[in-house]
Amino acid sequence: MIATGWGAAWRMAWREARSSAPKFIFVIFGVAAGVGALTGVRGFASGFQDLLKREARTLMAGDMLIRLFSALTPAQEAELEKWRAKGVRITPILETVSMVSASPGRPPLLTSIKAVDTADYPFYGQIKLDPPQRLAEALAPDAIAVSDDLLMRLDVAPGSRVKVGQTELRISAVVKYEPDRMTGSLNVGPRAMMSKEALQATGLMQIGSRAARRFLFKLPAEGVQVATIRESLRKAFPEALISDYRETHPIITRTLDRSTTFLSLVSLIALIVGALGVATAVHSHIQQRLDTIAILKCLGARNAQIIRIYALQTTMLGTAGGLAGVAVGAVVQQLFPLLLAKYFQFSGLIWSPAFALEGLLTGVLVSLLFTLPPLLAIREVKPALIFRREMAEVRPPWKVRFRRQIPAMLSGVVILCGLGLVAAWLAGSARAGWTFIGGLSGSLLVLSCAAWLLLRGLKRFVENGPFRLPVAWRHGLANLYRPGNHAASILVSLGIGVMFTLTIHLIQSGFLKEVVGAAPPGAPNVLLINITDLEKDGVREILEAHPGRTGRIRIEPFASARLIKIGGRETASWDLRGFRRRFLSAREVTIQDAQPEEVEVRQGAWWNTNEKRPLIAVSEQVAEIFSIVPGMQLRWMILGR
Amino acid sequence: MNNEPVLSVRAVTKSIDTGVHRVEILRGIDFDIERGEFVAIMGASGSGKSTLLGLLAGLDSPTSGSIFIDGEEITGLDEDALAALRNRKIGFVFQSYQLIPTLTAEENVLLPAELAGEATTEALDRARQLLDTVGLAERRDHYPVQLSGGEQQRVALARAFMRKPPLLLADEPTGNLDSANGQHVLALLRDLNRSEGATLILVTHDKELAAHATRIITLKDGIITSDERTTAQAESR
Repeated sequence: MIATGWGAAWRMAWREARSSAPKFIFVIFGVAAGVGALTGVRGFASGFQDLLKREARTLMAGDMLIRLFSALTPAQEAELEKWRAKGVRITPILETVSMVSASPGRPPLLTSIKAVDTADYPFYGQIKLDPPQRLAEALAPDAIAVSDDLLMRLDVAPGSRVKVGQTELRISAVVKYEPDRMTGSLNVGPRAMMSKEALQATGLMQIGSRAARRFLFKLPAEGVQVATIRESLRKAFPEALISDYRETHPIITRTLDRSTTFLSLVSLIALIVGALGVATAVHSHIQQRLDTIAILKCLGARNAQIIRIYALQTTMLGTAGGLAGVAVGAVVQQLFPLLLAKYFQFSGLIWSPAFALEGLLTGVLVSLLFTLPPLLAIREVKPALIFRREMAEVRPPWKVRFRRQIPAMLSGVVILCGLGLVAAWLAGSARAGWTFIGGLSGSLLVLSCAAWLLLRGLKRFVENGPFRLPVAWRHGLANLYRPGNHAASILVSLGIGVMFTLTIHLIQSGFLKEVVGAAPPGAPNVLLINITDLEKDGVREILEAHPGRTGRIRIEPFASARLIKIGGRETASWDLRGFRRRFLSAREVTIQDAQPEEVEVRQGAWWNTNEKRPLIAVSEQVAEIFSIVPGMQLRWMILGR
Repeated sequence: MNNEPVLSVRAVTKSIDTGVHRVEILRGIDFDIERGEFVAIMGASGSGKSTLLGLLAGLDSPTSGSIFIDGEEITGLDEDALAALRNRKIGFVFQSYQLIPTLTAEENVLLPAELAGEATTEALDRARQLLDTVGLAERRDHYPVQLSGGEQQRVALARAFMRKPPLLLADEPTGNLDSANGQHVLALLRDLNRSEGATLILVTHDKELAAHATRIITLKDGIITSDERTTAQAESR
């Protein structure tokens, strides 16, 4: 069979690309970088999701967990008892944050403390300790197992004693790995693990102490359906986070989803810069092939046939870049586990051909999108070019010029819409797609104007500048603004790349500055929490003697309390979403006699010092969310009472 | 055989608006060309002969007037219809050969059939036979850069006849060749013209070359100043 129209197109596309290979190599690299990042990120994220699902029981250390920040009510205790009676094993974990100190002269260290019942914990997975030993041995009532960074920062070794709360504990082991580390509730500073008895001895847990309670469940082999128990717990613990092995942990998943979306869009930007390169290269390539295009037209080629040749060529470039990118992506995917080795044990992270294909297609699609304008311009090539090259085309009236620009403008719209769809698909949200289009077109507009101004300024400078440049400079610079050059599009591509890198850097550093700068003058920058009544005077004494202190020391009581009823209506019946939902769980409530100076009363009046009625002031934000006005009855639950 | 002229040009003008003033390149051209004729269009540089050739080939459109090829009016056809018409009815030979550099000699000859979607085994046989006729059977797998100027022009001749077009347009076909190669190409052109029964229109400013034609149309400043049958007419018939 002799080649058909497609065959000839393919042959010409392939041969032209081959003969211009050096010109196209860098373009292929550009696409490869974008596709590599994209497939690496998405491939890893999907492998990670699979792993989370596969290892859900281990990562939770149970079949199911519930987590809450308040003590159990009697009804909740009864609910847990009910399930225990049905053969469900339940083990509590208490997590809090406290200071751990090695010796009196040295500064203490803020540490996340986790107390477990060694009889049951963990239901799945294994705690790895150094020296190796059983968890029950390591967590004797007078012992504590710690993370290696605590050893380093307190300059202690296994066998040393450290002070936690009111008691001294012996460091029995170093915790190398805890299966449920990522599903933990409080992750501040180094980590320490102890038994329930040891925690009791520290005296840290008192009414009002801030702690997270986690209950791990192990269901019996038969008789209890996970859906049934979950539904029942949902009713008994309306404010708790409940998760079971059938799903990935919502907090990890949310973080993973956000990071994946962010990194996917970053990769898309990289890909766009690569695709701009493809477009520029194809444009200049087509400019050099005007003769060939004119000959083809003379010989009877229709526009579609010629466009096919160069579209195939673009596809080839996109595919070559995409394939190289898939290879890069496979390497990137293998690098991520190294970064997360401390939290997860990655085994059998699978390279997914689906994501390779997805990246490849995105690479080709984005390359084709950006090549639309030069491809469409092929229609404007006049076959008479072969005869009348010497005759420069006369500048047509603006209407004709405008009409000729219509395909380019339409293709611009198609490009933006196409990119918006790709972004929406990568981010899994239409809003992200729109935002991406908006951001991208805004940046392109600004950068194009900047490029135009720069080149215009350069032209003025070279032509009318105060001094005459040497000839090499003049010609070199003039080459940047001669008609038909690519300086503007190169400036825009570079601009996007630089702008993006800079944006990420600025957001990162600006965010910290914002946090520091936005605090009102005189706001505290050191906060100590969980100071017990016993410690109060000692803490004040230390702080007053501290030379670096400026401003007043204020020690204020507070308790975690949950707002349950407002004017007779249950708060649970409010349909709050997103950020506002957190106002349904426990909030800090503090006790004050006089109105603090930083508090401004918006409605109502502050109470007198000798006020006997139970009065409370709520923040403007809470008042707005729950439509609270002065005079309303609020019912609070503090520590289950 | 169809007695209709293969080409009719009626009151054709072509002008270009430079924005400042209007340049009239062709100012009312009229002629008919009968089947099998060998016509030379002559004129000095700037006389409008290349513009006229572009109009006859449907590569450009006239400002006013009409052109008929094989009885079909080509003025006003859209680009794709013109491309299809060129493919079926017109063969081209250019001064600088204009082969596609990335295709072999054989693929270049076959290209018009391929563009028409008729790259059949018969088409391939015809391409090979045409290459044989121009003496390049042995070099069919060579790329244009591997061929001399004369050889390239012979490939271009074979390509021009590939679709058996009724009309063959040649723009200074020997202009870039030395005299021996020029003679060879001209001889081939005339042989093929006769054997394929095509009508040949040659644009040149070379009087010697024009002397081989059966009719010479001379242009000056955009109008026909003479239209003569030559003695070559008797020879060619």
